[in-house]
Amino acid sequence: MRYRIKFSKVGKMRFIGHLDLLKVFQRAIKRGEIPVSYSKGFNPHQLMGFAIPLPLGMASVGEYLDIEIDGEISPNKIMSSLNDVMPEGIQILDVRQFTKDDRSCATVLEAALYEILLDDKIIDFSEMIKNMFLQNSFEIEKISKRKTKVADIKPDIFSIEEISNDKFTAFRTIISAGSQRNLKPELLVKYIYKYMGKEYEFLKVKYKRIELFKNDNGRFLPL
Amino acid sequence: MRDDILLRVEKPARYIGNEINMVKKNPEEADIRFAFCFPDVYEVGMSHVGLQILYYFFNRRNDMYCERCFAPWYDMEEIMREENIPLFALETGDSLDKFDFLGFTLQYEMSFTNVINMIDLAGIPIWAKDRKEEHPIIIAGGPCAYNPEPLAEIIDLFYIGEGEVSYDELMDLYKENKKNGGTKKEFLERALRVEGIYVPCFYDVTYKDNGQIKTFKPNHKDAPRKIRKVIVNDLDKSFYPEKQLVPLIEVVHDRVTMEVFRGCIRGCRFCQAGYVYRPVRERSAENLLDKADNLVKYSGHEEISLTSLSTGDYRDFKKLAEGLVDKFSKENINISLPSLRIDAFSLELMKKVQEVRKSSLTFAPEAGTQRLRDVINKGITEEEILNGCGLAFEGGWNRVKLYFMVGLPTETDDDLIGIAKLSSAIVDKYYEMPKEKRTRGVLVVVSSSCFVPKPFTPFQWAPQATFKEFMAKQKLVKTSMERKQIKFNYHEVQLSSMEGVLARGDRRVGKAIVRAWEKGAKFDGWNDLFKYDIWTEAFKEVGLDMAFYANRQREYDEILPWDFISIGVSKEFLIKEMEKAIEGKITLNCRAECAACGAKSFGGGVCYEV
Repeated sequence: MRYRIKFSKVGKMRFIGHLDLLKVFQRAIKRGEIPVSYSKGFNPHQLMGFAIPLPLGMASVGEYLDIEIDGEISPNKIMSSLNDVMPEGIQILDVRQFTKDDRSCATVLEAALYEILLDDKIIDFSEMIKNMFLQNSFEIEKISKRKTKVADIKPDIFSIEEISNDKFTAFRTIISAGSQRNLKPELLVKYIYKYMGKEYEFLKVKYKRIELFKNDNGRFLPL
Repeated sequence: MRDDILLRVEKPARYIGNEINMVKKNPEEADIRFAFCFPDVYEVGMSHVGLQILYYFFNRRNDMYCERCFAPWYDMEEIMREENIPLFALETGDSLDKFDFLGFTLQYEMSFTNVINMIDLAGIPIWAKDRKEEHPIIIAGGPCAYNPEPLAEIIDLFYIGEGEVSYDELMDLYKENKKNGGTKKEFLERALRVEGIYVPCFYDVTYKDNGQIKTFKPNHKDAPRKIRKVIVNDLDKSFYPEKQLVPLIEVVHDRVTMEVFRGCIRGCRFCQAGYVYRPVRERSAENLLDKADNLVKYSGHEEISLTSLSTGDYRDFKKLAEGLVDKFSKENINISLPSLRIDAFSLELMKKVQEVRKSSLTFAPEAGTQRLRDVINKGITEEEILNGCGLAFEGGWNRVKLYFMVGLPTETDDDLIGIAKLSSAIVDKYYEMPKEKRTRGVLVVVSSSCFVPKPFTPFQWAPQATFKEFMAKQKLVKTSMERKQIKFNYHEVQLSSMEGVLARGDRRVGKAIVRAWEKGAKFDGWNDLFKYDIWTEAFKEVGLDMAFYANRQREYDEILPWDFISIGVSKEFLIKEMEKAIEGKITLNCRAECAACGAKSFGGGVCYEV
């Protein structure tokens, strides 16, 4: 039987990379004595799959992974067993059993919601964003492993909503995520800074992932 | 540690703690704050079983909080120095200068500069004499503490032997002294009465004109002339943790490690561990199988391994190994076997636990000819090696690793060429098999390292080969290798030469180590980071001759820097072994025949087995 697990990764655990996180989960599943299924073959491994890696240093309250279990146990039991043995900074928020329509979280993932806090106060931020969207395209240099190319990221941005306080400008944004189209939130912020004609400094901006979505007939629903 | 700093360094998880089974205490409630300092990078230190044992041993005391600290990597150190961030412990993040004790484990000589660097990074004066009441007391133990002299003016006190024995007494003394408002000096004086403790400031050394030690004498009435190592006699009754720390990032060994026994019955004459840890003391298989359950359960590791010297000598090996296979193979937990003597039983077992993941088999003949193997008392014959390989090839293995040393006492060119000959004979053995069994071809990986004479071995008087001699020897081995199925690697000659200087160094060498550190030496155990030139310059600058320490034949009546330490094995025995070595005579292992080394005086272990 397959289960979908939603978890948060905050605090010190932000500094654990994706491959190490995989190990953290594998060991927690062992410690929690969850009867996880193993792959067949020469080097059996636990059957588990994450929706998408979280960049090193970023906090999230909306991460997902799927696991497969020999037999059936109550989702609540899985949740409490894992929470009992998880290191501080990872908490299981929800566990649900797969329905017959469910496909793996990595497959159905289409978008992600981020909360982004700028170390800056930008006057009339919403107005500026509105004007920005009047442009036909958002062209910015995308640096991948080997080459640098200019890409239009406008189609990857579904919403931007300001949530600033007195001191800092902050916003929530839904952008594409997953194997089909993927936009790193940093590229969006870089673009906003470019649009404003300001210098972007990575260490000053705080990113947090809030939720991951699938596309349900045009509506974004949490995985 | 600040987020912006963690985001700028490689592997930030080295500095955050928070591991599974980390001990959390309120430091305010601890009478003694102890920082266990491992003078190497996190991934190395966290793989060390001694750290795992002592961490929980200390923390079992309610009045004590033991935290961990590792050498920060270059990138982190640079930021720390730039921003004036003192070295800190992982559990609380508090800087080390707040602690009562810094406890260093000295696992290899080439970590000495890291010890100094860590003390300095904590904002603490590196010389013991410059430290004041407010500074932590610095203690050190581990294998390199058996010759503590190179660090004698840096470390306040050394612990000679196994931690479980005297630490409680020492900590009780400290606590009482602190409560009574006693000074650091008063504590160090009282520590002189604790077994296994060496307090260097209470000893004076004088030297002859030729540089050798003239006298080594206590300068305090309570300081014992000899310091005898302390060991646990009954390991089943001594403390062993139920849990182990599980790192959140990949470290060198990611697995449950169980210590099967201490000591070694073999008596290889080059091996320091084989003498200083005598006599062999075993844990019972029942005890280990019992402990294994919790260690696996509380760690979530998918691999369990056994550790000790020469694990195949464990009397209950079959019961233990099969017991582990029975317990864990169903749960998808791998049993990782250490190098064993290759025979039908061990191959059968390896097949069982390792399935198709056929790793290579490892042999350590150490020397290329039987003559030289007898000199070093390495009790393995060519026939045994070839038969073992034959069995392994038949069983489907096709990779063999061989370990050798060059520069051993009495070595000739024949012995070096012998390394190539033995390697070729193994390749031939493979081709003796019928063709249909030789499906994948054979690979023999030969590694040769440079011999480093160590204190408390029969070879402690022997000269180490010089840098030039080592180069010529390695070259001869390399050019003698003719088969394309053999891959030959040799270890860094410079590193071994330097290790040879420090291993048998005296108190004066401390100044050269500090000088080397001042010139930028650190992480010297890392081949690519080690800078030999810095060291040669440092020795020159402080007026010491490296050859005096490494390449000189010592006489039996010379006072050696470590002579005031007793490992239970007598000097007379070591002399006898050296003489037998020259004659090419072997000494049988402890179980075959007692060689009367002196370790029986501890009153336990193999000396009393029935």
